[in-house]
Amino acid sequence: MRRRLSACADALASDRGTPSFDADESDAEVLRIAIAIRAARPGDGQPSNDFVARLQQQLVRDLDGVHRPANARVSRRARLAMGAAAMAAVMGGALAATAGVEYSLAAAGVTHSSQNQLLRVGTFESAQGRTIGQIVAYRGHPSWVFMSIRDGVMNGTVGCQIHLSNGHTAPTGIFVVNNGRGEWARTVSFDVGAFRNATLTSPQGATLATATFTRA
Amino acid sequence: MVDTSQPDPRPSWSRHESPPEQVSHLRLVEGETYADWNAAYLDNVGRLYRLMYSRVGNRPDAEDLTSEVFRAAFVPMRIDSSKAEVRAYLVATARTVLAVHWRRRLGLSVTSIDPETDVAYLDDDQQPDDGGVAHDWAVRILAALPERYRRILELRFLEMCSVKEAARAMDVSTSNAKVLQHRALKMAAKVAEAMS
Repeated sequence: MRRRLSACADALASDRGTPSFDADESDAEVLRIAIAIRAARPGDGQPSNDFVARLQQQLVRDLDGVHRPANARVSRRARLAMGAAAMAAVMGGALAATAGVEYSLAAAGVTHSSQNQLLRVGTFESAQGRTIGQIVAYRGHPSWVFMSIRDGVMNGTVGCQIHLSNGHTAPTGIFVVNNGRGEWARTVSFDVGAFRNATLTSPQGATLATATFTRA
Repeated sequence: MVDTSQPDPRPSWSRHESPPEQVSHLRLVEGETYADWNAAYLDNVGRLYRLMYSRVGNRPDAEDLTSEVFRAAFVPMRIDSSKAEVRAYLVATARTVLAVHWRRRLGLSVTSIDPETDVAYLDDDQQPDDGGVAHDWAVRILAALPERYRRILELRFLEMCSVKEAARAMDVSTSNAKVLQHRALKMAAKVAEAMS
């Protein structure tokens, strides 16, 4: 039995899943200690970006199969938002390929016509010149805006406005940046082809970062 | 009469039984709701993962259990519930998922989640890498061990050395390092019991 317990402790030390065996209370006491010490290792309590994105996509699929008449409007919007944000999380620092966008939209149950597609991207830069995130706009049915922020010093509620080529401004909403990270997605009714740039603002209206749209 | 003047140094999940006097902490109920499922997911996934990680001590199990909690909780949950209700439901689901995990793997409960106290893991003011009470507890246990026992546990569980690497660092054979690790964990368990 000691060998099984040691194998279990070795698995913990190597960051592998706990193997199965018939443990007794003294084994459990030892494993509690091993878990406590292992969990005290700084930095290991954070989930990987890959895991967060994978689970997000899984939840999109799960929620897509649920019939929820009482919450039908919210449910559908939520599914679409999660599919889009999952894509935004997956793309990380690289620009999204059109195929990636289409995969996520397909996963979210969105239909669109291929001849009208347009993908535009922008990189958010802070006033100090730091690159802090990306924004991707997709023209389809519906059209979407995806945003991903990675900035260690940003925290709290952030507003976003998209400026159009005709001089008008389209307020696209607010989202939360938590400990320097935030993803956000929503449908838009404006023509993505008319997008010129985007601005992130603080709740007090100060400009935090700007991005200029280019064609992907 | 139980002396309650000294607080129990152990984290709640490591206690075998409830303290003699249960204290229910009244919590402020947030009226704020999430905009959608995605917002609820992104706001809680990091903190729920951290809670699970503190209970299983490895990434593969923490990821599996976190996934299980969200997949089980999100289907029946109403998104128009308050943030506090969503978090309470997630923690309650996590308690069940963790209990089932240990029953299947080892046939008994190794660690547990207390919805009353562990919902604090999902609070907004939780820091991303704050091990809190559990971290302090582990450090105190390590500090109470003889040098060689402490060193083998640090090498293996904190510095992520293989048995061979740990043996080399301590200038002992591989089999001796394995014996040291086993004895060190046993002694640490006794130290933890004495500390409680």
